[in-house]
Amino acid sequence: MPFISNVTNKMEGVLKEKNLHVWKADGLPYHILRDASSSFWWFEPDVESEILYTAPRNETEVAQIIRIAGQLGVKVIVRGGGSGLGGVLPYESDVPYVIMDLKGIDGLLKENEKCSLASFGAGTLGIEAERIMARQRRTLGNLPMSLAFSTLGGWAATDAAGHFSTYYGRTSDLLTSVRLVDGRGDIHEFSRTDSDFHLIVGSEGILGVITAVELLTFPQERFWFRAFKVPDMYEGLEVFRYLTELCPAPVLLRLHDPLDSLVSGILEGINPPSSMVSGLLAGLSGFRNTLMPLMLSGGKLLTSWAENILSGDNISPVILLGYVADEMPADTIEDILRDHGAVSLGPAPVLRWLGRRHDMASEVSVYSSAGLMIDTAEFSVPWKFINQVYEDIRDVLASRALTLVHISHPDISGASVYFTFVFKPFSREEYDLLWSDMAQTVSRYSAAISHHHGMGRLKGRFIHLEHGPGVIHIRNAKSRFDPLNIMNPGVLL
Amino acid sequence: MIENSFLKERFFVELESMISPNSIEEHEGYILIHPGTSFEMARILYVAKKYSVDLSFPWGKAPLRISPNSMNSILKVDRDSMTVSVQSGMRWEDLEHILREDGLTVGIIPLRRMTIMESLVTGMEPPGIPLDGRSGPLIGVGWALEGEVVQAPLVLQRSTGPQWSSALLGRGLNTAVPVEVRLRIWRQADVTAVCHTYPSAQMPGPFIKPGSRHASITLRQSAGVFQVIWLMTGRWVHDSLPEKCDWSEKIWSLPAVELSSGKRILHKDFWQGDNRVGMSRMFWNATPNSLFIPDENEGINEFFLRMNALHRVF
Repeated sequence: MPFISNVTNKMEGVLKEKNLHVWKADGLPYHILRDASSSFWWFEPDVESEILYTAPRNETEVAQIIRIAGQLGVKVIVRGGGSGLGGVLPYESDVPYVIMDLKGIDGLLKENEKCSLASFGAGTLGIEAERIMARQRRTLGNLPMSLAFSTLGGWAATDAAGHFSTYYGRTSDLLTSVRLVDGRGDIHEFSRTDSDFHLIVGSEGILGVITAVELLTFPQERFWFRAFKVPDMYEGLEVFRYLTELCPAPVLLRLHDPLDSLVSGILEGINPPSSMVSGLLAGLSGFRNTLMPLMLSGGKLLTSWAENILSGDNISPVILLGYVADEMPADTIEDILRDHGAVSLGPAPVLRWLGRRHDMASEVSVYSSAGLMIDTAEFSVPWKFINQVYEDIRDVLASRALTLVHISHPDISGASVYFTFVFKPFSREEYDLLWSDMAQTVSRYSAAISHHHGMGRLKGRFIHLEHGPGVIHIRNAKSRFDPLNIMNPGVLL
Repeated sequence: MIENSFLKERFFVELESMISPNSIEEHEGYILIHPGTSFEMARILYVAKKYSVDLSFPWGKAPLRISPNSMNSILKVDRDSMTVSVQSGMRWEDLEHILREDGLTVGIIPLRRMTIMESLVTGMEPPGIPLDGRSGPLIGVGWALEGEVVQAPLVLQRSTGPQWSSALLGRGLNTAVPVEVRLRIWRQADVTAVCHTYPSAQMPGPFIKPGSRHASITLRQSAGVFQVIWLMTGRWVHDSLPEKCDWSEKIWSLPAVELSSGKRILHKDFWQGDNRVGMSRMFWNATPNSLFIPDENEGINEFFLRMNALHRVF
């Protein structure tokens, strides 16, 4: 294909070690072709098309590749750790494109101990950055489930939030500056006092490639953890909000609904199921291989039935809570929660959850091996509407999927209501309709379509529901930084 | 303003057709408008853009000047969400007055005399953390955008996507104007003022941690010691606070020491060189990465002197 050859020749000229690969689409390694979103089960690559893949080693190479791509009309798809759930890859298009993998631009670049700051290459994996910081007994404070699979540049591009965001904040709170190669190949550095900083963070690669980030670092702390059983989700939410408004803030605060508490294994060994149904739900293999497909076939009726049995078995919502050890006495918090009708389950459920929380890949593969798909929706919802969103989205999903819910990442205005839904694969049209129904539903409650997973190509089509005519400002930024429209096409806009 | 007399005539006709004539004052060399609603503000933007006329506040120098003072209504106090929606022409201290009558507060030290709109448009903020920062009270902004009004979610921690609304703050009047704001409010009893005294500026305090919710922080130097005054939003449920201050009646009515001009800068830039190193740790949490100082050319001593006036409230 002369066009591909032309691009390859030009790009190889600027790349050390000629790290440019051309694959037939059907021969692409799975881990490069797709991101973590399992929502592309329908995707069948055009076996005739060729896809370019490159892994630049430095910012200069990034800039040169983007300039060549602009000259030749090649789109650039930016790839970090591949843990995104917004659906950036695969990119289904007849237009030629290059996947730019940033993991070659990694490592600690600079550390400013006096100001508690550290700079990293954008391709540095979160777990690697934490290893580096741990040598000085420090942490970045952003510890997402995808710590081992996500990059610091990806965190900045999606404004990611880790499990301890209640305490440390999310990525936009932690960043002090970002370096960007824009869609023209020009290099910028934005600090948080620049207006454009707020456009770059969270822009999901549509304005350019983030090549380096500077973040705050924190001393490592000792924590204490407790789990509490609460009577129901509504009582649980009241306690959850009360805890959010205490000072100092908790490190960890999550509210899991009964099904999520059981299936995620939080209650393992704590609350032995007395019925066969609960036993099957708690035994993960039995749940996935037998009961869940059955429930999915039966739709809402069977899900309600299972939940009733859980209720009869005294399986309740669970709050997972943690504090910095010397900031809040554990007995003070236990007294408060007891007054709200909560029952302490001790630290074991939290420690169990902490031990498993990074097992994302194995979770997904277990479901897929049972012929099921798993997807997530995490809406940012004002306090006032969390109950309604919890109910309404469960209704939307009820006839199509089995739904587990937890509420987390609280802040002064609201929290993330996180739906994990498991389903038997259905058509793409049905899937699109499902997401459309969910987006329309939450938009009635001033909720945001995505709290911290990014919007990507899957959810970007609903951006007008969230931003209204304000989308024009995102389009203006796109025209300014990427006038040739080559960066991450179809994402967000 | 507009050189062409025909265009000038058209500009006036169009302006008067959209805005109540009573809201328009003609002065030598400029026009002063008192918009009363968000939509009037949006229409003014539309006409100004159409005829390429610059906008400013009354104390500015543009040919078309906007007085936000007529847009000063509280739209809704929502005790369920603990938010207040207010037209941005309201002054910070007036809002605080009204809320306090009901035992509520925004939990910040308000800028005196300045309207919310002026502070958002110029980038000036009440002393303390950035309004749109993690613990800042600003939850949402309604923007007037050339003929239409957009309600924008603003708080950074709430959602993904480029935060265009934050990017517009401090960018002047010509692109967009913040006409309504939604602010987090607190029961007065849930806002605590704490004073910490340090023998030197090098000493970080026990509350300078990410989990402390600082709605506001100020610093003063007195008799050779340094004091940090925190306003913390959130209920304290244990007794480890060392020195609570009675702020409820006093702190909002500060004497005229407000930061009359200034900018937000990164602490790493501020603390370059000489003896400032170390002080940055006193601020990184209150303003996650940045620090508001009266003027970038003023030194640290001048900053302390200005903050000294806070003595009078404690």
